Amino acid sequence: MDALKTFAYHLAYNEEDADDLVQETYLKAHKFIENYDTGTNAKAWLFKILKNAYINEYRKKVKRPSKVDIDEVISFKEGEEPKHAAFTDLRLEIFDNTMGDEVTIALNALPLEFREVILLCDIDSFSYEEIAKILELPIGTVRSRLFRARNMLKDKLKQYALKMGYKDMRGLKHGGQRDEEEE
Amino acid sequence: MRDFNNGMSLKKQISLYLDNQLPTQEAVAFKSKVEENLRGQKMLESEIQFREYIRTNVKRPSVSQGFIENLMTRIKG
Repeated sequence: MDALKTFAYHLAYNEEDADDLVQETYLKAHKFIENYDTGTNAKAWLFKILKNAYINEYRKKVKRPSKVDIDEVISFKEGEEPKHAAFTDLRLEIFDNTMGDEVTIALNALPLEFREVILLCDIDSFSYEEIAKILELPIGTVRSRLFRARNMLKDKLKQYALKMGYKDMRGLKHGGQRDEEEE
Repeated sequence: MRDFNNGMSLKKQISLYLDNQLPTQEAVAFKSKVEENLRGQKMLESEIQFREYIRTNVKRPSVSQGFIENLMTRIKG
């Protein structure tokens, strides 16, 4: 139940709405239990109910409407990455030295379409196949969206780290010249 | 860095590898190639650390006992 609440919290941005979503999920699951295929992943089924409940009843309430740059999404194909992607491999020391809620803040700043795949894959350890079923997306879309979402998250965390005074020293040669960025 | 496998970027291959999305033989071959490549090793370690960092630092609110009891009451009712 806590996993569902974590997912709900990062969709709805607050605990009160997250509790409502979790409650609604369980009530719907109980009501429509005959729709559950015995032997299939019950957790994934509950997550799917929750996501649909969020779309149907809560999205209108979100103060920050989630938008996706369609052109960017369309242009994201295998082998084609945004120009800033080369800057998103953060050094471990940046991660190690950041403290507080920056992960939650950065994650919640992502558009819904990218936030949800990170939550399902990296937080709840669903497989691509399970995520595809929960979100009703082709696996290829899950794969590309997840890759892009992680880069966006790294980018946001990097911005945070730099704001906190941590410097990105990657690729600096002696004398302060930067190596040419490579993927 | 490209051409570790089929021209796909190393970053993407690492991502698929860690997500268990590479076929078994391909995953074994990829791991072997990464281990021979210093930059590849660093990128792999960095990605593992990043994911662990996200997993351990994201806020995970839990449901209260009162919430569970209330829910059970509603379901039974």
